[in-house]
Amino acid sequence: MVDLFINYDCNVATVSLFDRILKVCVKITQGKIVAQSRPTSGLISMAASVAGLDSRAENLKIGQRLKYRALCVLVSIVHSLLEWTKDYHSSNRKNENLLLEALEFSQDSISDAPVTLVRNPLGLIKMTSVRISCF
Amino acid sequence: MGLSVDGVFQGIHESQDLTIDHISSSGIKARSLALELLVSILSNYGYMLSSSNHQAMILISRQYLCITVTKNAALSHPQLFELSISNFLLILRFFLPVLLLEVEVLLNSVFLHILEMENSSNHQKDVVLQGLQKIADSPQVRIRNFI
Repeated sequence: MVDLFINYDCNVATVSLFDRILKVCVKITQGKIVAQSRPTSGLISMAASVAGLDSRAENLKIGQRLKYRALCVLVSIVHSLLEWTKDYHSSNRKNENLLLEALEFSQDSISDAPVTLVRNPLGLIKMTSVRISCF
Repeated sequence: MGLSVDGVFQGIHESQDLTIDHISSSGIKARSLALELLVSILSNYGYMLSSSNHQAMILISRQYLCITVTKNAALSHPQLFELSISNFLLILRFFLPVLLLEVEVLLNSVFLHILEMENSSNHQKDVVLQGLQKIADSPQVRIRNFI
């Protein structure tokens, strides 16, 4: 999912696919795109109407299934983004620990100059933000 | 290997001009068999084919594979549609760095268009949504260096 965002949404020349996927799924979930109703002609629907079966209930069921699927897509998009950032955060924390050790070491070696370390996560993120591997 | 893939693509390509009304049941069977063959080739050797980065392979997939997927996605036959979606997912998985524009056109103006259209059948929408979920399940990052 992230590769779609970086390849298309971040590129000026291409259509923002990530954006479009999200918009379409949201539309389906909100019921703006309705499920196709069954054709009224045809043997099966005639037989159903003769038998007194209402096709409206079935349409409602199909619409709900489509909504459910669209919601599943949205949930798995959020989930995959979460997975991606988990990796990012864990490596960030590792870098933070390394930095802390380095600072403690320098503090030990230069004991006259006390180094106050403010654990500023934003600053650390800035230092380690270039992590995207390109090929 | 390259020759046989080429042959399969060409075989499918030649039978593409017919619309679904003119295809007999044996024609549909032959076409779905060819599409299944493509799916199995791509899923078994896709990694190898995409990593070898041959110009011939890229050209073949651009000329035949993408067009095959597009034409079969336009059909309302459920089995052919599902197979073309599986082919598209495999293209997306293996050939995204080399077929950036083709994937854009396929996803934007074929599959998302089907999802938005009122005329498309519920089964098609259902299958497209399942495909989207499979795309969304993988948080992989493969980035083409366009910057």
